[in-house]
Amino acid sequence: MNGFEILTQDGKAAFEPGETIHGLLRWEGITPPGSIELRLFWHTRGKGTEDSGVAERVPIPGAGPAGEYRFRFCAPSAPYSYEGKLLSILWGIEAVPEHGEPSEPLMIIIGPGWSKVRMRPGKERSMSNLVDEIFEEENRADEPPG
Amino acid sequence: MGTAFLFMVFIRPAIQTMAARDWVEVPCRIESADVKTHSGSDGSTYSIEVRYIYEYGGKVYTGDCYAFHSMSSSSRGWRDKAVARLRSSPKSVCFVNPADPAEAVLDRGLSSDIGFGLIPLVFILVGICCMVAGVRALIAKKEPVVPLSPGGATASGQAAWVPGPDKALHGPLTVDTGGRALKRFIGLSMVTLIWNGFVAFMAVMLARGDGPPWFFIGLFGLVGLGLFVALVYSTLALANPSARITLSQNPVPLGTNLRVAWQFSGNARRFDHLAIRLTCEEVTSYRRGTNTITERATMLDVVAMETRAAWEMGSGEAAVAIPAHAMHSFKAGNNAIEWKIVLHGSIPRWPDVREEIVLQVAPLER
Repeated sequence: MNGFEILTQDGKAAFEPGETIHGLLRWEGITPPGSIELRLFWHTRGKGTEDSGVAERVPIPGAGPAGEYRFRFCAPSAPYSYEGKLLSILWGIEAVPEHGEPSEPLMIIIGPGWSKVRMRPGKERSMSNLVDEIFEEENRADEPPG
Repeated sequence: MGTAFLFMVFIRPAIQTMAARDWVEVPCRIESADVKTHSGSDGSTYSIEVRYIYEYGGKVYTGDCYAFHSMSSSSRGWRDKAVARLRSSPKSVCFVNPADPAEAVLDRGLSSDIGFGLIPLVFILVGICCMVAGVRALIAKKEPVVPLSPGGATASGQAAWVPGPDKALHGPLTVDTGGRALKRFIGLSMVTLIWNGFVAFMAVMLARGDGPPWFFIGLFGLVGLGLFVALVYSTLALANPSARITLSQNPVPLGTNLRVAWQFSGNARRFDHLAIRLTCEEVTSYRRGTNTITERATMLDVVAMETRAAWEMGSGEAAVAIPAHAMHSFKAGNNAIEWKIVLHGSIPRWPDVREEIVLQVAPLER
């Protein structure tokens, strides 16, 4: 049975666009041994048919049945991690062996301010309403927890 | 195939009918007249088989053409009446082509079956529209509007479209909306004309006792009425002022101000209210059986400018703040986030002016 473990440095789960993602891939029990490809990918989730895309691939040729590999990705400028009403966009890192099933993906967030963009359905509002809402959101983000 | 059918069943008989106006009327004797049945997998069709003798220029000829439109169809009623009339009076008249006396016809008018020739016109128009759309799509693929950011490709190979950072392609965008109303009007006119023409033809058939059931015609007629109402609305909209809209830049990054300038040609004083809105929609598609369903959700709808002052409506400029905390434009195979600038001018007791421009919102500038 194939076993993969994907870890990011310091367990970091959120990244700004353009930031470097450092991490470690560990594997064991790969039979038959072959190459592995690490992928940084996004996919959509929600009402619509799923779309997906691979931003970056890192090949690990001749990986052997067990081993580890330190990887580095550059978080793309877009698309941001996003949560809306009909649609969400999620980022992840997965290992795909030459033979066998891909690993469970490690889900991460890529977005400005190390957070996903959330939008909720909007009623008609004026520009001044929008500015007020943005200020409210920023103030809530600045409040200490609890 | 549709074009060939249109030519054989409508265009050619119509041309022959017009040409036969100069043909010579000559007495003839009906030798035989019958309705022939053609059995097929979809049912029976009927045609008139006739034989008559006439004399022209001292020579005797035999004719077998009843009318220019000689295809068989499922309409039997008028054919039975025509054959009964021919049998009841064997001495009749035919029309002879003076240039070729061997060519003659008993009825040089248009029969009701010629209406069937118009049916493929709808499909020909649809086919032409699809071909034009396909060619335009091919041209658009070869002319990239904005560069792709390193967002990668979808599993199906289609690029995920996200406005890129290449400043060289950023710049003002000007859109003239004048032609849009005319295109809508022309398209709608053609569809309405063909659809209602077909409904009228079926109604005539029904009146002659040969048509489809009345409720079938009624359903088609309701659709035709709706099309007609839409056509009237579209006709009135032709008289509306048309706008030239300029965006200060496109794509525009999140968190920046966009300037939207408008200039109306025509009488903009007819508006009692003018608004510019910034909208953001999620668009998702999925299949349900053989149908593709598309759903939209409005995530942002902001009035950037609105006025009721007549002197401000003819032309002007407004600043539209693109929120920094929102999602940029996104487009993949089945999912998209679309931003639009919407110009909406209300005219009392008249179709409104509503023009939309798709705005490409790029990620935050770094």
